[in-house]
Amino acid sequence: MKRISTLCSCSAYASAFIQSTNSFSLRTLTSHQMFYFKSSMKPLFPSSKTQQSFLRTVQSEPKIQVATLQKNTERENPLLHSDFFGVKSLVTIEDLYKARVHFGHTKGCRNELMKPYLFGCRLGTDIFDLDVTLQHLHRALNFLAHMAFRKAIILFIMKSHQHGHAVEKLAQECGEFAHTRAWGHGTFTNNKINPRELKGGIKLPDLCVFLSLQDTVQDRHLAIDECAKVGIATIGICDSNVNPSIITYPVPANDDSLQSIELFCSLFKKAVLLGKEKRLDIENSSQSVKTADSTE
Amino acid sequence: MLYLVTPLNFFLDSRCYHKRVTLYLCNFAMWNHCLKCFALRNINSLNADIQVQLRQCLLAPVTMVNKPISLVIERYISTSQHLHRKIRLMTVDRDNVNLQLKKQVRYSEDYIQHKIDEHNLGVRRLAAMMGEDPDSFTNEDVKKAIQYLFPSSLTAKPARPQMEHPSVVFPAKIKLQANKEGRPHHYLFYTRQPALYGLMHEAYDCILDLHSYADKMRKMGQRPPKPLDLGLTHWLSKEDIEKEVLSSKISDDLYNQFITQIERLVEEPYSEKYKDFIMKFRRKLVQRELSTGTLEKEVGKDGREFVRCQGFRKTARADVKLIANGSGKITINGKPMQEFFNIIADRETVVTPFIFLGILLRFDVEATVDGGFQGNWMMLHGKQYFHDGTRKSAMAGAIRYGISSAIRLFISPEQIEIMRRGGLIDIIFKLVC
Repeated sequence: MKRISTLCSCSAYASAFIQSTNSFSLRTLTSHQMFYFKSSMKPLFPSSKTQQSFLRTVQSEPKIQVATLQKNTERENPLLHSDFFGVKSLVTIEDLYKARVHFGHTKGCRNELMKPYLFGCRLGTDIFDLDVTLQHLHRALNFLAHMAFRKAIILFIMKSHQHGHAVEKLAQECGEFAHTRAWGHGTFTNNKINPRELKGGIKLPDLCVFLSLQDTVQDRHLAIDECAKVGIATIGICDSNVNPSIITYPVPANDDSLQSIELFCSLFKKAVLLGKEKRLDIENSSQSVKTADSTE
Repeated sequence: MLYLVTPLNFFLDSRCYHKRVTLYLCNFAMWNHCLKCFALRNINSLNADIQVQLRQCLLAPVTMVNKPISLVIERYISTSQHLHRKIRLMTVDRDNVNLQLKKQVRYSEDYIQHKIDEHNLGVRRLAAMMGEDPDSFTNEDVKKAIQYLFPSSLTAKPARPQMEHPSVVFPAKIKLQANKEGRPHHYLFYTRQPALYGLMHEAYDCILDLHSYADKMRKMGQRPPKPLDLGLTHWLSKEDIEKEVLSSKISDDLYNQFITQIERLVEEPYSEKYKDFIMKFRRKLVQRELSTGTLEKEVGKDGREFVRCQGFRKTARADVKLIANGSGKITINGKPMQEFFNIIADRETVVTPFIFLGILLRFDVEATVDGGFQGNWMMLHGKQYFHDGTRKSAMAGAIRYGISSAIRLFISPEQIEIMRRGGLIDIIFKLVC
């Protein structure tokens, strides 16, 4: 049985290679053939460990075929997946509508840079195009989940007397960080303010999520500029009176209503927790596979 | 992936000067092993001291495969064996410099104590130099003295001559605020005042809880209770909060924000539920000793207790005798109060301490008073003021002060504190004419 299987595998590999001699394209190969092709791209003088694993996969192939394929999918790059965390199922346009996300500010307050995101203007109030909003929101949530998956430090920022408490609570429940107070100049950029803390090995945040781009003084939040200077990625909920240019993942939506802020808080929380859960799942499953290998 | 290996043949040349050797070893363990063996085989052709170094280097376990092994060999500048002088390649002791900057070097407590003693002695010497009293030489005086003795126009203030207390120079132990990966522990770390804002968050949590509780009670038809009584306590001062609650300094603005947040919690109905949390930030009012000296109760011929006390206001002086178990009689200079004081305001002044405490008819007062305004005034603003025997408010004030000092012996400490807060005891002696 073993011998036949090895012959089959060799022939499959060979056939694949022969097929693609003239026009070298990986797309012509099936997934099964791809597996062997990939394994052939290893160095000529591999280290002992990799050699052993290569031999193992070829020889004992019929027995633990399922396990190796599982291994392969686990090693699959999550970044190439379109929706690795299933973030698109978290929101629908109806949810956004019910939460009053489509209401912008009045026409007079409009920032011209937000024009592409607006559906129109009704009785003096700008209305967001929820199709566009949903796209941006999916992107932002996906990014957030990926960052949480990679154990990033996420900082939720909102300088609002009404909603500050909710945002701090959101951060506590996620296991991330929040800043809903007056922003100190140079929190990220000034090394003198935080000499001990940063030199003690504390990192700056990897991602800042702005639930409102404005300060209470109706000015642009200082943290946006600091993030840009220091190279921290940002997600921002952009209302119609705000400049969305520097934000990495803008989400054109309403940031003033209680319902819309509550919706966004719950969505961000779910996205972060999805990312973290996936990380735990993968760590646990890899441990179990390792124990399985060691027994063999 | 494969790094080039430097030609090893120059190792075999055992003459004169040697160069800095770097062996870049390649990725795969197998290659590493081969190179090591080759080097060790040819090691005997080298000088003895270099052999030792190289052997140590090569036989050390290589943990990171990509890491280059580099040897810094002492360099001879002349070929002659007799005249060789060793020049060490200048290496910056980076670890030391970094530690000084980072201030992560740990100093023993004895060393710091020694430095503190030195500092204190130095301050005394400085005071002597400047001709000042060493005991009352404050930190600001020290700074001024140093500025005087060592004037400096350097723009960088840390570069100017300074004489700081060792507690400033040697930083206190830093609490670990993050885990190994650099992730802070506290969720409000990036606000730079995590402890304070955390408390404010807690206070607001309590307020929201009380809102929902009050709604429930209102539905059941219950009336809200009386407002929370905090007793004779006051809010912690800013300095107290910095020391006890937080470990860092805060601005006045922040302190005010914090207090207003907790006062909001106090104002909520049913806030007795969180009294423990509120009382953490309250301190009992401290009684202050009066500077009028010790007073003693004496017993008179009637068997009634009395206290003698002195009072003053402006230039008026009063000797007051407060007698317990009385009926509210007040005699001043032998006359009843109604005769002595024509103006009702003066009479009210005298009686104020009793009214304040609600004990109008319990005591008798015998007082002798003199001083205050006496004689003609000059023309002021086109008016002339005459002494016609009616201007006696200073005397009234003096008697009042005497009464309130004497009455301390008959009332409870809490009531004394209330009087103090009412302004009846701590009186600033104004010399106003």
